[in-house]
Amino acid sequence: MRARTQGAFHMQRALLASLLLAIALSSLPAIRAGIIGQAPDELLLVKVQAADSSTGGYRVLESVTLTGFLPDYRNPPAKPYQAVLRDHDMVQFTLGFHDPRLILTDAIVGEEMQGGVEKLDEASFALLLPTTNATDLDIYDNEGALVLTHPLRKRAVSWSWLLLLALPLLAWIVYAMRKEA
Amino acid sequence: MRDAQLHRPVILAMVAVIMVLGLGLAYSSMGRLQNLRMEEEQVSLTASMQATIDNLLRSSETGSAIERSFQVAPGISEICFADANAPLDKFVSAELARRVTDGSVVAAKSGKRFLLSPVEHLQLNRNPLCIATDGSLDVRLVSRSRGADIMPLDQGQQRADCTSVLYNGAEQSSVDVTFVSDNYGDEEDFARDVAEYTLYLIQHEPFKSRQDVFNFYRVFTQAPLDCMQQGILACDPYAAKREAAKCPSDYVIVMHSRSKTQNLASPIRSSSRGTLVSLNAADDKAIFIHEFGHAFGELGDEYVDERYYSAARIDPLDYPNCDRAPCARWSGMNATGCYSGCMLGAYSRPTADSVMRSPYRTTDFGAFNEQELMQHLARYGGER
Repeated sequence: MRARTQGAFHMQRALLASLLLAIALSSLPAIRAGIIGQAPDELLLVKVQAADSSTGGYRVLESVTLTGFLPDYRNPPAKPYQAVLRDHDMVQFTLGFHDPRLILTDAIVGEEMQGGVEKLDEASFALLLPTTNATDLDIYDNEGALVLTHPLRKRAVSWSWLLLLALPLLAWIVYAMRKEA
Repeated sequence: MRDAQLHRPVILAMVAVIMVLGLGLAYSSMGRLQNLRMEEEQVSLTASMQATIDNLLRSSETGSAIERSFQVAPGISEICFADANAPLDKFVSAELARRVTDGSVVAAKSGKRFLLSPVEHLQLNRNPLCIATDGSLDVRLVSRSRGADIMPLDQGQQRADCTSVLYNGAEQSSVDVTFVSDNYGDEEDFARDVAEYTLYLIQHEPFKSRQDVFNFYRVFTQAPLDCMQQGILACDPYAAKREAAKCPSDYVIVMHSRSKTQNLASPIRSSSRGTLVSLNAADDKAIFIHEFGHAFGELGDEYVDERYYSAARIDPLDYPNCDRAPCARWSGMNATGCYSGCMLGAYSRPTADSVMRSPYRTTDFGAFNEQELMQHLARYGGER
């Protein structure tokens, strides 16, 4: 029994040490010295799945911010889909784009053209957007129906909250160790 | 003692939880430590370069040159030099053009990000100058009147995110067309194909008359664009636009390299989806004009492929160049008629033949299609 108690005591000490190490590591200052400023032409590239509601509807598959050039979107289609960036109810940016499920394929085979236009059951498409403080991305189809609302602001993942959790645990372990000793 | 036994399972559970927390914290800190190491290497490289530049300028006459090799950290893929006091070519690196606003810098590219450090006495012939590195940076430094010019020992090491092929004016008022490579092993092959296709497009009306509103660029990449899909060349729009965004890109042309022999045995179709054209480079160049007619002018096919269209759920009337007889859309217009067949046999087209019908025979759009395209082209230009 004494050996088991000693084992638990050593385990607790190891635990205490690992906890202190984790706290020390998390307190290292964030290194930003080499990175200067924010990009004025930082863009948001969003990949969206487009399908009928029966086969999954519209959803954002992935997105990335990158540095680059925003298309001027001067030549929208006649019956455009619309992407809208808005901050709550305030529209910040809109762009018109082609029906994302349409694909036109062509090949010359001998003296004959083969292919044509097809509406895919589902397809992914990509939108290049400016980075703004928009809260949401809305997509309307070419009949004006809202087919997607996607929240853009996400809380940054932080390990800091773990410290708040860890400190009471630390206090409890110290208390338990003292009581056992 | 009994209390301690009661506590033991709880303590063990806590140990497990806290160890997981500790590992998480350690993991997040590792990234920071790696950044710290990279930054230290960057400081060391910049100091070495600065000393070399200073020494060259102090001890040599204008025009004298030295060659040096600098060690570079393994995670660094490119080293760039940029001077904010001289015009920066935004196509070489959009990020540097945006971020370098004061003085001159050495910038080390790690992944997609640059680490910047100030450096003095640069007088760059190319600004910014980016050089690919593989553990070392091999350069020639030449003493100039106001500083040192730097150039790579191997010109093939010089890098640019975006290469301007034909630049006519401000991007905001131009049709910016960016070619992105797919399946090309050699950048020179890609550059040659892009030059040929660019010239080919602007030699044909109506683009010929308005070639002043076009800018063309190219991006050479080895990134996978997932282009082959069931016998159709249809590249992933997300991957393609990610690469194309390095240049102004109202229209993206992914050029897929393919041998003509292979294409003869097993042809694959080029495609157009919105502003993205996936182009089989083994095909006739006229296919490019045809696809650009789809992407830029929203023109429909004027050939008939009943088998294809029977299942396609498409209304040809969504396309301006297809109409039902007697073709009210273009009636009265010179050099047009009402010719049977436009996507489907039941619809009609404005000319007997056109590049939207048989690009292997003609590259002419025909009067009505040209007028349509001119209306789209009129959205560009103005003050440039």
